[in-house]
Formats: sequence, structure tokens, C-alpha cells
Amino acid sequence: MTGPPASGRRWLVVVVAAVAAALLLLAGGALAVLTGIGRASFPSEGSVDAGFARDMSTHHRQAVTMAGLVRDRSVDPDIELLAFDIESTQNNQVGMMQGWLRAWDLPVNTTATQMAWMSGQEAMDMTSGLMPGMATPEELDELRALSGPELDVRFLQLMIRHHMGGVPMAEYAVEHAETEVVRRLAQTIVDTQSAEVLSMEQLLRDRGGSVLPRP
Amino acid sequence: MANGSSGRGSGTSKSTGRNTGKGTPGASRGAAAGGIAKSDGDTTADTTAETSGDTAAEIAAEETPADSASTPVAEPAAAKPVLSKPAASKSAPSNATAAKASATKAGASKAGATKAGATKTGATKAGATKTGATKVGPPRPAGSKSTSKAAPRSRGRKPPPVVLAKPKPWGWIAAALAVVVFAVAAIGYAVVQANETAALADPNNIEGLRTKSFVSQQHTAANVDYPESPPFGGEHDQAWANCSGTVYPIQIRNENAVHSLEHGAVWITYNPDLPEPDVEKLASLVVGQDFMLMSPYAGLESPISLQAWGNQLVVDSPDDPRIEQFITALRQSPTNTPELGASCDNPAFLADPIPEESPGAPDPSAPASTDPTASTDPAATTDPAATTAP
Repeated sequence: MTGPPASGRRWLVVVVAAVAAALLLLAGGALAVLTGIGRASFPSEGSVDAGFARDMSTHHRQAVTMAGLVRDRSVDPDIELLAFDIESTQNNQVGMMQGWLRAWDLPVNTTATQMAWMSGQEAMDMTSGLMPGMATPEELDELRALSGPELDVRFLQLMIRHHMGGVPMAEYAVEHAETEVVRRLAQTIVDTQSAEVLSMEQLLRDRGGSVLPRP
Repeated sequence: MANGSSGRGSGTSKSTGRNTGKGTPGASRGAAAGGIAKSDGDTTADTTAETSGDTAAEIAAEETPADSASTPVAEPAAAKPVLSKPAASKSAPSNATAAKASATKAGASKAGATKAGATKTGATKAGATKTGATKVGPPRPAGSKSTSKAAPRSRGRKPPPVVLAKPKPWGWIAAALAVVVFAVAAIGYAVVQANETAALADPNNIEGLRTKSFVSQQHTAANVDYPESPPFGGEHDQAWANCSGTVYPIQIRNENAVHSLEHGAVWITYNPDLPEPDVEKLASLVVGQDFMLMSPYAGLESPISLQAWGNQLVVDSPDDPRIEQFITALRQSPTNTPELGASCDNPAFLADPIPEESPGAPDPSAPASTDPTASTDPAATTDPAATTAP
């Protein structure tokens, strides 16, 4: 293998080819970046996903508030456990939903109209200015003032109504959210809260209470 | 490589004159030179190549019977010629052949002949080409290939322009191939990596996994007649068994354990006959791990059974790799957990675990036969000390 000039030429070809290949790869990569190929697409502001994540977070947080209050003050082990279950689960789910919003680079809270993402849902009664099933500030004050069996009954009534309001929101997200992780959690909420409504109704009947009208 | 061979032709021809004097390669060289001369004159690369090749072959044939051996060498060289100098490259074969032929004849070492040629070439303008000549030398050993080529050449003795394919741009082909190979490797690696990661979270990869879809996740205070044993889904008690890395020394009530599964826990059950070391191995998978619980289970069909909501795996040994596979894929699985986000904490149950009282369940009063340490304090189960302390 002698002949420096020839090998020099050969190497030149090899080097040129290698450089060309590298440039091609770079160009391909740049093109992919520019066109967004391979990049996970995130839900945008105004999407069902973002609206659900925000409004269900708000909805959940009120349940956490009520459940925490009752877990502290009820003396009924069944109610205490139920309240803890609701509080811990929904707190966790709020964390998931807010985590999505951050990962999507969207504000966790906005001043946008609540429930706007559920277009055409006439079932949503927003006359009180609150999302479906939410307790009013007066109802929360009342709950804080109660104790004993009255507290348990009122809590069950409010939480059943709260769940009944939240389930259609989750059902809408199951239908319309673009992200699988959102649809999945929404389905979980539908299943869990539907089942929880039934067990709470049983607990309520056991304590002589009556179910509030649907939200 | 192509480059090297290409130059040779011309170089050789010029050198031939000098060489002739030497005697050994002289004859062959002269022949080669003749062939080359033609090739040089011809503009058309293809024809030239052919011609020169033929000439060389002929000469070789006449002079050396052992022609076939030498011819082969020329072939590879011819195939490689680079784009830049098609004409030159084609002539190369002839040269190589000549060189070989001469070497064979003279009995002189082939390498020597080749080198001589190369050296001579140096004098000529086509410096690059010389290298080719040198290179051609070494490949000789490949006698087998030559045979094939030699045949066609001798065939076309007359310069019937055997149309050789245009010289292939081997350099570019190699470069393109390199790029393709690299791209395939890179993409393949990424895909494999992604698949491996996904595979860890996919319970479908667990051999022997038993699955069932449970619609109902209702609460009930009543005892449930589960069709599976141990159960792994369905109606359950309102209270879940504490499942934050809890090792129960007693067989806990199914209805409470199923509620833990609903929260995303993995429940390990073992036959009370399981040897103590195996129980300890299992416990090491539970203690300190959230969303794990473990309890003995009387009448278990196998030594060990793992449950997650809608999923069950039966294994014989705590060393079975599928155990960790099962836990990895199904503990708090976002796709499988009915009540995602729910807690495993239930201090009341932890303090006072409810024993299973169905027929076949062991007597709660003598529960931890396999774990004497824990039997001293059936309640203090989550604490690792409970399983290890005397």
C-alpha cells in the first residue's frame, strides 16, 4: 500500500463522503426539529385537555377541602375512611393534572371562563357561578359548623352531589380529550366516582339522610 | 483502491522501456505496454479497458499457461477504478495481468515485479496511478476470481467491444452504504431502546399471566364469594388493607385486600408451607416499598401467587424473574389501576388487620407459622423490624 498521492486522493473521497454524510444527517435532524417530527405534540391553550385539567383540578380541590374537614372532625370510622380516601385520591389527581399543565407549558390557572372547554353541554348549570356539583361558600360554612351524625349526613349529601357534577365533566374528557393520559384519568374518575356515589348513597341511607337533587 | 489501479496502465507502459532490460518481467511488460498503449490512445474508457484486458490476457495465455492465476488480480482492480480517470483505470487490468504473467513466468517474486512497475510509474506523470499498481500486486492470491474473468476475455480476443459496465463509483457507493448503515443502526437502536422500555411496563410480556376484566368496583360490607383464589378484582370492603409495604403475618380478609388492589397495590400471597428463607425473600420485595402487601394464603394452588387488579401470576419460587416483572408492570400501573392516585394508608387496618375467616383459612390465632418473628406481634407488620426482630 504505497503511493501517497493515490491514497491521498482516496482518503479525500472518503473524507468528503463522510462530511457529506454528516451534513446530511445534520440537515435531516434540523429538518425534523423544524417540522416537529418526532416531537410529542402537546395540547394547546383552549384544548379540552387543558380545560379539563384546570377545571377538574378546581373541582377536585373543593372535594379535598370538604373531605379534609370531615376526616378531622367526624367520629364515624366509616366516614373518616371515606373522607380520607377522597381527600388523598383527589389530591393526588390534582397533582397529576397540574403536572400535565406544567409539562405542556401552559398556565396552571387562568381567568378563562370555567367549563368553556365543554362546548354545548347544556347539562352544565353554571347559574350559581360554580361548576356543576360544587358546594357554595354558604354550604361549606354550614359544614364547618356541624358535628356528629349531622356532619356525616351533610358531608355525604354534598359529596354525592359533588361527584355527580364531576362525572359528566370527566365523561366529556373521555370523549373529547386528545391526550391518552387525560382520557385515561378521566375514565378512572368516571368509574371511581360513579361507584363511590353508590356506596355513599348507602352510607347516607344507613344514617337516615336523603339524597340532594342532582346538580 | 480504484484510483491506484487506474494509473498503472500508463505508468507501466512508460516504464516498460526501462524494464525490458531487466529481462525477467520484460516480456510480459512489453505485452502489457502494448495493450496499454492502445488503451491510452482510446478515449472511450470502456473499449480501452476491454482491449487492454484482452491483450494482456492473450499475451499471458501465450506466454504463461498459468495465466488464469494472474488474471484474477486484474479484475478487482478494474472493477474499482474511480470516476476521475476511467480510461487510465481500465488499462490497469492489463498491466496487472502482465505483471503477474511475467512474475509467473520468470519465477521471480510477483511482488518484485509489481513493485518495479510501480517504481517506474513514479517517473511518469501519473503518480497516483502507481499506487494502484502496487496495490494490485498484493491481491493476487485471489486466484479463483480470476478464472471467471479470464474466460470472457480470451473469448473476445478480437477487440469486439465487449461493453463493460461503466466503472462503478465504488467510493460513493461505499459512502452511501456507510450512511445507510449508520442511519439504520441509529434508528434501530432507538427503536429497540424504546421497545425495551415499553416492554417493562407491558404486562403482556409476562409469561403465564392470568388476566380478567372486572366491571364492578363497588363497596360492600358483606363477604364476597370470589370465583378466584386468591381474588384479584371485584366488589370489596370499604376499607382497604394497609398496603404501604406491609407484610402481614396472618391471612388477611380478601375483601380488604381486593380494595388495596383497586388502589394499585400488588398483593403477594404465599402458601403457609413455603420455607422460611423463601418467605423472607418475598418480604424483601415488600418491606419499604409503597403499594405492596403480602400475606400467607391457605390452600394456595402453588407456593406463591401475585395479584394486581385484574392480573394474577402464579410462580413456584421467589427467584422467578417474572415476580419483579409483574411488580414493575402492574404496581400503580396508570393503565390498570382503577382508582389511580388513591392512598395505601389505613392505620386502622394496620393496627388491627382483619383475618380471613373463609373455610380453609388458617386459624388467626396461630397464623404466622412460617414467620415466628412476626407472630409475636401480628399488628406491627409494616415495620421491617416486625419481620426481622425476634
